[in-house]
Amino acid sequence: MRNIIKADLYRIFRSKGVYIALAVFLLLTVLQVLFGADGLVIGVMVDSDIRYDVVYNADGTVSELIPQEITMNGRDAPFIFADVTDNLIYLILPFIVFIVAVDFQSGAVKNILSSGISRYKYFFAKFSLMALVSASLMAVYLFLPIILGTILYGYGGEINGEYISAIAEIYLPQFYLVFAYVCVGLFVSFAFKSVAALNTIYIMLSLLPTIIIAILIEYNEWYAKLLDYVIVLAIKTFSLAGGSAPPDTPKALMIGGIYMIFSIIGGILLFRKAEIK
Amino acid sequence: MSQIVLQTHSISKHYGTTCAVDNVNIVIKKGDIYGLIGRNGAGKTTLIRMITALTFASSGELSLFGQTSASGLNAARCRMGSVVEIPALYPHLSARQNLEYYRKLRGIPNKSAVDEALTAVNLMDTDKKKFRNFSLGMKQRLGLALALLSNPDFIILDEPTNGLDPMGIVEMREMIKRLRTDRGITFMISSHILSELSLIATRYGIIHDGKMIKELTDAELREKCQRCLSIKVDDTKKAAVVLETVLNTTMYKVLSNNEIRLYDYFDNIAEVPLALNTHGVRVSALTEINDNLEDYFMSLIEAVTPANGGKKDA
Repeated sequence: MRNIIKADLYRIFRSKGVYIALAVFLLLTVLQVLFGADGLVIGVMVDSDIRYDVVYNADGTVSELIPQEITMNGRDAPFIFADVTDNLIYLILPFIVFIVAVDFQSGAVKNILSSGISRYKYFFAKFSLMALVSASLMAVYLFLPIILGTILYGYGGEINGEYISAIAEIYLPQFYLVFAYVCVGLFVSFAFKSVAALNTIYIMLSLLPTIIIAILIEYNEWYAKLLDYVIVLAIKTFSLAGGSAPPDTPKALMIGGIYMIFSIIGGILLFRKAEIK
Repeated sequence: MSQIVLQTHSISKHYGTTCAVDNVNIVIKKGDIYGLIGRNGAGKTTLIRMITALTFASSGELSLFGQTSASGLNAARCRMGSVVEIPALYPHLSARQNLEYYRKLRGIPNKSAVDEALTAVNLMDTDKKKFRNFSLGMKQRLGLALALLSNPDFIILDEPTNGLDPMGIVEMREMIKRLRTDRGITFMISSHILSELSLIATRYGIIHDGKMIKELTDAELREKCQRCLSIKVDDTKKAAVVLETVLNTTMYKVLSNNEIRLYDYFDNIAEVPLALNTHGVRVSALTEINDNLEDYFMSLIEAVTPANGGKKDA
């Protein structure tokens, strides 16, 4: 499995497309950091931002928003820009294409499987590599604001257990949920073996459920409950948490787990006996 | 006894109600160049795809280097190289980068393996040219280089001369012969062109409508397809004496039904009945038989094909 990952890393870093995707990813991240949620350029229009700690009722509805002034600096930047991570599911799509879908599109998977590499090994190597890539991109999302904030405003504080715990509370669940959605992309890649199908289904799955539920809510409020099961919205919930995890964390984590388990089991069931064209 | 590299036991593949490969038994021994011949859709590629793990048999058993279990077969496939259908490599990588990728993937520690494989197929001078810009001939050669990368004992090539120009076909043929002689590699090569395979293969399997209709050695095929004179005589013993003593040839075979097959004297056919008659052998018929490979192949196919034609396309 290690050989597959090593070889894939060698391959993808010899592709112009990956450098373009990385450049776009970094550019968007920098722009998202430099332009706040309000669309104001940091350092020109504002030098601080107000975030809200959310107080929830027992039923999960928002009770109160407590304004928390956060000074713009490297230390606090990850809290201010935690809400940009919900874009990660889109920015990660080119990497799923380069790592998995291209193998099927080019037919190169034939050479891999006919050389004695088991399908299970191949399948889990791809999942492992995508976990590594997701974690790396998430790390960029975490550290880039810290670096830019520090360059522009200084670090402005100290690192302690509380700080690390707060960061982990926001970013780890987001990584988990982003990877859960990446697993859906991997499932689609193994099921349809086509770049076009991956791009279409991946993007549609991120948008359609919310749109359909929104239409259903117009007819009956009850359908609002279904929004809890939309992973893209769960990622957003965490990204907007502003320093404290929402009370439905276990539910969100469970949903992510279900997405992952179904994608992995479904993917392996389809792939283990699939015809390789 | 020669070591058996590949053996199938009643292997079959069904797609719904269509039987693409039907109870095929083949044995490939070490050192063979096994030519798998059949028309398009005969089941050649399906059989190869089962051997190379790209599809799974519906029934039957496959044995590769004596391994039959799933894990054993995967281990055995490490000793095998293959190019199935059109060589498929990463289009954005050069020849060297593609091979380097597969070297890493297969955990081949010898870094010079890439250069050795490229040298073997004369692709050392392609530099940074991307695979997508290769001609079909170059792609076929790179496919062979990929098959050679892990220094395999057995190589499977599916229609390796497809799309090659005449020069490319000769080069590919010479390469295969050289690899067999120099490295002792066993080959299985599929083609629908018997005359092309006949220049390199040592054994043949003829497949039609998913069934293996004939397996034969190169010598057997040559015999079947050899040009000869069929001479019907009243006394074959006497005729044999005349052929050896008067016409000074031993290139004949006595068959039943008072028939002798003579593989000589094509330049002077008239001399043969004259000599026989002069020495008291009565010739009742003389026919020149000139079955070429294609004729032989077609006669085999026709023999197993129902009068209303083929039954399906696999």
